[in-house]
Amino acid sequence: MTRLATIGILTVAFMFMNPVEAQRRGNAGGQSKGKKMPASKVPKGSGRVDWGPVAKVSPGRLGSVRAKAKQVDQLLESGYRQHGVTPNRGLSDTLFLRRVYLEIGGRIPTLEEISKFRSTKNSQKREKLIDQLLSSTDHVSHMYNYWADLLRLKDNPINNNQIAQPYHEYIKDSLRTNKPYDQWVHEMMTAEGRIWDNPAVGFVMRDSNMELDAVDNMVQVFLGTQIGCAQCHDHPFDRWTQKEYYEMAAFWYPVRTRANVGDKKKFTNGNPLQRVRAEMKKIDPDANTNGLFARVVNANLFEVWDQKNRPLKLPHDYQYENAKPNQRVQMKPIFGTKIEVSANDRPRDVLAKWMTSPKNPRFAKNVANRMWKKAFGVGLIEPVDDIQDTSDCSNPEVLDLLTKTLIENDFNVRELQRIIFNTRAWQRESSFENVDLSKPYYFPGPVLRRMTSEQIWDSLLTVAVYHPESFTRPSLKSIGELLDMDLNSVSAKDVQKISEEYQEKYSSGAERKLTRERNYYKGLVLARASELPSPLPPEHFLRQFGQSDRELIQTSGRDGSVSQILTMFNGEITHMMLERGSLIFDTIVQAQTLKARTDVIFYSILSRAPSSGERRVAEKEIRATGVQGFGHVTWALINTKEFLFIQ
Amino acid sequence: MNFSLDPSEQSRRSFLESVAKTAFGVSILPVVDSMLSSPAAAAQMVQSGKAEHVICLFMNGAMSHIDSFDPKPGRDAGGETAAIQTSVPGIKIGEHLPVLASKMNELAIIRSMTTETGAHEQGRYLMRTSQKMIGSIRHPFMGSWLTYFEGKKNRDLPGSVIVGGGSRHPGAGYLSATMAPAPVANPATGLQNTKPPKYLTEEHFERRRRLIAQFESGFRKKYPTTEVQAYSDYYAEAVRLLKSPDLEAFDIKKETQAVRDTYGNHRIGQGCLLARRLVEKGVRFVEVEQGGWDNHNDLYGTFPSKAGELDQAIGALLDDLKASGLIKKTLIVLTTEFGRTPKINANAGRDHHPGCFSSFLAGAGVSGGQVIGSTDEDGKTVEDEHCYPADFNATIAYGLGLPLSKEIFSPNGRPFKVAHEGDPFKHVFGEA
Repeated sequence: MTRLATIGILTVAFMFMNPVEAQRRGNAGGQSKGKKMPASKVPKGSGRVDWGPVAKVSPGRLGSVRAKAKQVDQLLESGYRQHGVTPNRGLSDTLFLRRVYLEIGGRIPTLEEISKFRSTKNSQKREKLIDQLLSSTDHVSHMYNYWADLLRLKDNPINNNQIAQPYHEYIKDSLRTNKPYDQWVHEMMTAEGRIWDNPAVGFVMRDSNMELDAVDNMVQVFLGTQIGCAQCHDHPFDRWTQKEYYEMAAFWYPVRTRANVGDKKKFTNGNPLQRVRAEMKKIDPDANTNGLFARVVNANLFEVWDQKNRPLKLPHDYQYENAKPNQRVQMKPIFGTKIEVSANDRPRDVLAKWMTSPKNPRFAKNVANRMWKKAFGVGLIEPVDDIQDTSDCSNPEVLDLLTKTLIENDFNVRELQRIIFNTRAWQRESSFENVDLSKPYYFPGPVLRRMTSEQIWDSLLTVAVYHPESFTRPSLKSIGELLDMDLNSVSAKDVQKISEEYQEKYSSGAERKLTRERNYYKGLVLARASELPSPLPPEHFLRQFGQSDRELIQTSGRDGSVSQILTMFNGEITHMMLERGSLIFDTIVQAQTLKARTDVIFYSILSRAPSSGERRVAEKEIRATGVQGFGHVTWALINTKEFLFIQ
Repeated sequence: MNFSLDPSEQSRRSFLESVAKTAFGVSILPVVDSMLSSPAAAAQMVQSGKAEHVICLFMNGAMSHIDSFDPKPGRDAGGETAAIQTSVPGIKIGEHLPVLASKMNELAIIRSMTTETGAHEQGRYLMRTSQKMIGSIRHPFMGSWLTYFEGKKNRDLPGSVIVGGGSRHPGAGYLSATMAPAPVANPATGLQNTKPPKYLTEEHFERRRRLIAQFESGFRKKYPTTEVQAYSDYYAEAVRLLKSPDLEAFDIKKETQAVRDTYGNHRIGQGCLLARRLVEKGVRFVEVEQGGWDNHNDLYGTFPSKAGELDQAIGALLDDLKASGLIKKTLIVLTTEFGRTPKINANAGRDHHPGCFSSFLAGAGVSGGQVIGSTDEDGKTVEDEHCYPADFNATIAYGLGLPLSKEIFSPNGRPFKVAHEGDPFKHVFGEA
């Protein structure tokens, strides 16, 4: 301490690096006071988030939440007794705080948030924090990452002509307003039009021209069942037959995702792109009518509509006795009895109604099981996306209760999560023996898990950047005002103008330019994971730590690798933290004593105070290496497993 | 399953022992040494191992067999792809692979590959592990098996490397993290973040590492799970790697521009070049992935150029390995998760077809110039010599001299074999 006291704060400000390097950068640590420092390169953010307000959980429901949480606990406890399981210890406030921020907000808490919680004496402070976090933009961002993985969100799903970002914004909005889950799914399944008119069409567009796969995917996501095998033959491990698959797919088969340019009634002036191209060539024979010129026209051809009379037939090589090859199939859902589809019905409306109905035995149950898994790390039924009639459920009463409650609450998923987070079981220490997934897990507590890639990234930003949440992705909501065209009348000149304006305002180049000015640091865009392009390149931090490439349903991972360690050791973001202008750097500098500075480092990174032993180690290091020691301690804590795992 | 009936009880115990050893932080070498010296290994069916390395080219998305190695000229199913004569009389392959056609005398093509599933992820998993993908356990891929049985050749480098790897690779499965592959996302940039910032001296780096150990000892004691332990293993490996002079094997920029151009300035080309560099420095198994084969739409709009890249890359790789003599020790394998339908769909593409597809082997011990198995006139079903993913893996394992019948026990006590119940296609190696 004595040695440190002699070093002025100004000196500290440059010296998490070594003095030579600081000098080389022209910062000359320890210079006379009057000299002005160059501005820091670390962007700060405004502190505002330009999303609309987040729907709050209802204070009036707290009583019923408590009651339900208690019921869940009682059911779990009877499971413990029955199977001889000893529940884990209750979570300390310290561990609770970190876990609740990570699992609801998707990031670790800031120093301010920690000190606020610690100084609150209210006995209901956990309930209050859960409610506050469920009503935060952090939660929207975190849940968006979850759904982006499930729904395979890609900025340009099929090709560059197809724009999907308005759909992604629609999903964020649906999460932000806590749209009832059944309504949300229903909207996506029944949407029609162009993406800027109705962004929910992005759901149908994701599997453009793959009607059979689309049905497979939606059954897996919304019903937790895999029928894909039955696309080609009777399912070998489940009860689905190929015929049943086709009957289900028949509802979806009439859905189209591209305008038919051969439709003479619709395109009275012929193929629109050919027409404007020819027109352009007359004006300027050298004009480039590929690239953006074509793309802005083609973007208008992506539209979701329903073709009348598009029956689905069994494949020509159908091999089973119960039908003939090439036979037309009747529409029939995979569960329940046949439903009438009248001539006036749009078949997918009927399917959407069936899918999202409270009577559908799997729809509510699937999302309840998924939300449970999200909180505990293991589903009540596993695997969550391959539920079969014969699947074991480790506590069927709990799943039934959650399912019923979800339906009673009009599919309010946030209230369901609120119940889960308020259970004693969730607020227990995580299981720290190896959990054997081939045996049922009775939930003595959540299981120890590494953070998701998004949680790691967002937590690093929380440590390093003042307001990472305010770097939101430029919105494409108003893109229709520019792009929407009447394809029969639009002129070549107009198309050219539109493509130029598109280039300037909305292209990926325009986005790069904007983020470069705003939130860029040595090649990294410092925005929350939910505000970055999708999919990210394989070498991006998020991909390295397991974010999926968004090709297949929920393929994100939590495994380690050597390259992750190298990134944590040497990557830009770790070292940015040790630079002036980063949040943690500035906070350390502002603290007055060595003890306070050590506390800042531990609380910022691990959300807890150092133990006395750790404090000795840290202070010894700082005494030995001077202010560089702060950098050493910060770097070392970021590289501990305690930082990466959710206890 | 009765563990006590046969010698497998012995191997179960030794497996658990080795797990215990690695779990308590003993480095990998003593474990592997003990395995090599164990007489149990000798008692198993041991083949004359020819290969020491594998370069496995994995075509992500399911490459059309009809448009690559199993053309069907003159049939509707054949699509737009013509067949061309190879260097071996009587054998033709698709026109998009002219270089490989000229090297047919080095290849053993299997046209009778067949699998159980037409779902990508499940198909890849099955292909890589010989096992069905289930929720409760993860099985090792061949690269980790090779490290398990043979140990590392170069202590400083990973036993196996996956180039261009997507997430959800089975990796080391239930084997220890010390046998896990290291992923390299982009071959052109190699392994990233291998250089510490300039200001950080070696001495300070060491200080920082010591601090990590001190700050996390409590956590590691409290949570002794395999996942947590795995991270410790990755740390150790990362540090070893950073200090190794062989680290530059990951940097293809050390090659001249002319060499890089020969492989082609695209992911698969640069990936093959990286694979060659890694094998030269003793990495045993390199998997190079190439995506973009899921041609539901407009197959002939993209397939020819994709295949052209592949053709160029493999051609350069085979030439280099031959020139250095490494081909005698290296098995080069190409495969994919399943095939594509003979029927061209409404979007001018082909859909998923698990019924049949093609793969090839070349290099160490492979008797080139042969086609194994065949499909019907439309490439729809296998007519003879069905080769299941387990058989294919058994063939690779056989080429490496791995003990196919040896039972290895997973930590929860289930017995597994390196290629499940697969039978090696010994004729690939010119054996009866």
